[in-house]
Amino acid sequence: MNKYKRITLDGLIFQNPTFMLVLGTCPTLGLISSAFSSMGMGLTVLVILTLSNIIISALRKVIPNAVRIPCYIVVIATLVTFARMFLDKFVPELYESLGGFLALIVVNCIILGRAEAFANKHTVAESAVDGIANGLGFTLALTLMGVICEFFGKGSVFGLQIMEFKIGMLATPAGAFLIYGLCIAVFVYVIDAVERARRVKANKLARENLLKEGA
Amino acid sequence: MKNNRLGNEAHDSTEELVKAAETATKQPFIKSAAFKCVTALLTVLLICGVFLTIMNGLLAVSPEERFERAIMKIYGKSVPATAVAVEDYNSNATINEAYKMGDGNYLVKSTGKGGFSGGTVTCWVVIEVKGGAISGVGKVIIDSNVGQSYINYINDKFLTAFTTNYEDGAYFTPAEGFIKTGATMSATAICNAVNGALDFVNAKFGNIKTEGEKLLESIQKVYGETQISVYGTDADGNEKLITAEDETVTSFISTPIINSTVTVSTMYKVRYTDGDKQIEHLLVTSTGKGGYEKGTVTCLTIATVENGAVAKIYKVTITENEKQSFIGKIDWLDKFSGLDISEGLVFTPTGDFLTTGATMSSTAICNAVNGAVDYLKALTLEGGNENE
Repeated sequence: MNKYKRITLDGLIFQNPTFMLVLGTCPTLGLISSAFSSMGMGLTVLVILTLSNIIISALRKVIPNAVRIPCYIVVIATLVTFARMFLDKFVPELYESLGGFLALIVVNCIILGRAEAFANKHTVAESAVDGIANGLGFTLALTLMGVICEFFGKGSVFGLQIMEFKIGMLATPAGAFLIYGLCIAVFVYVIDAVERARRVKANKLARENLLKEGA
Repeated sequence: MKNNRLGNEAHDSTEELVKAAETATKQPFIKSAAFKCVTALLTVLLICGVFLTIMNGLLAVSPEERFERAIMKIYGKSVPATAVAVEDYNSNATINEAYKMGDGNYLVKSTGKGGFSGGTVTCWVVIEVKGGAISGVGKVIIDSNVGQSYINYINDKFLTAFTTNYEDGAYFTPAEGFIKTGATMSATAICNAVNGALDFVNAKFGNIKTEGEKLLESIQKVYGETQISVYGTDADGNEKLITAEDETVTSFISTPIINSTVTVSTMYKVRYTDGDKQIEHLLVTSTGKGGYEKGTVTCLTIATVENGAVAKIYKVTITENEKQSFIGKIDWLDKFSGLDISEGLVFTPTGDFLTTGATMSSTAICNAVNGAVDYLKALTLEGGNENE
């Protein structure tokens, strides 16, 4: 398999930061009561993650091993501060809806995790793809849960009122926790089912090949 | 021979080690790993610092821009505004900014206290002014909050109610239609913010009411359309007709009577004619303790006077409360009406005088009315009988 395709699939599905690695749960639980906030947070993380991966990968041979973590934190904090300035200037509605969670991206496990586990061992291009894939995986997961929580918790999707019936609890962090758990269960079940089907198919092929060789 | 060669080699390697050790100790700091680490870290810090400084210069949002955003959010268009000096006139709110708008109204940024977990809610409040007096609340918009997890329960309908339910001189309280289930304390903070803005504009730019005017207005509300005369005392303790022009008013109680359950603070007399009959009432304000979260409820107990003596309870109304989220559930105040004060009344929060879910508020009300009744029973009216 092409290595970029593998990196992309890992970030999006097989090592999805939200559903498979359960990283970045703080903004996930805090923001998924609104689809707009969830998507905004996901896209912000996507940009910061991609840029931090690129910078850290580019500097991996320059930064001494002993001070790599402080350097990563400085780089990530700079990018987050820049993102805050940018959103406050150009997208104030999103800036207000993200509130304190925007600043907390600095300590988001996904970003530091990818920097330490991937970017400092791979090329700039691979790290960029990894950042985009993981960021997209995070964005899609958050948006999906945001839509579910907002639909059932407020009867609306992206602020558009659809129905009067609502279960208020699902628009709170406690409800988000419930939805998050259910989504993880469904996601893992589907991935597991696909993997099992793929293994069965591979075994069947191998057996047929063996039989052919035997004949 | 072989041993000799081995011995020489050992000697050489030892010399190399010694030389290496000497070189290492003599290696300048500039080539050490520590220096490299410090340099790398400082370089990253410097570059990031310079980058953020430049970006701050390019992207920083000025206070003027922020204010313009708030104006757009409220009015939907740019409206000229002049900043005015701010001052706090209400202990439950802090006035952050205030502007006189082009249309003559005032825009006030007010932070209401009393939110969930000691938090606050900051609101932009448009105070409409007509003829130099406050005529209404134009709009209320939430600007920010501190620690209000359920602020998203507060919807536009709740905020619009401030505009539609404005009454001259009245305070907004969560008990009177401004309670939001699930976000009671956030609603309290918003009410405090709006009340703070009203007090600020009223005190600073509106018609500042005299104490006499305020008292007459509050008592007149209880009597509706009936023409009443309200009496207090003058500096010498003699009965005096209170008028709207009185800068200060003095009640028949010069010093509040305080005990462990109640504080009886004021008493005024009201007289009016009903047909050819002269009616006299005594109005006692008392604050009952023992409410929810050590809060209090202040009640106005009105007693009738017959043949110069205190006779029956005419009416009991709640004028203020502190921390009583469920005070709106109390619906039995009319049960006090008509009860004979001379019969040694003592109210306890049971039966008719209890609301399930507001037990502690019920207790505070009973304490307040008991204090007023005790005070009235002990009164000796001029020309009447001593009731003890």
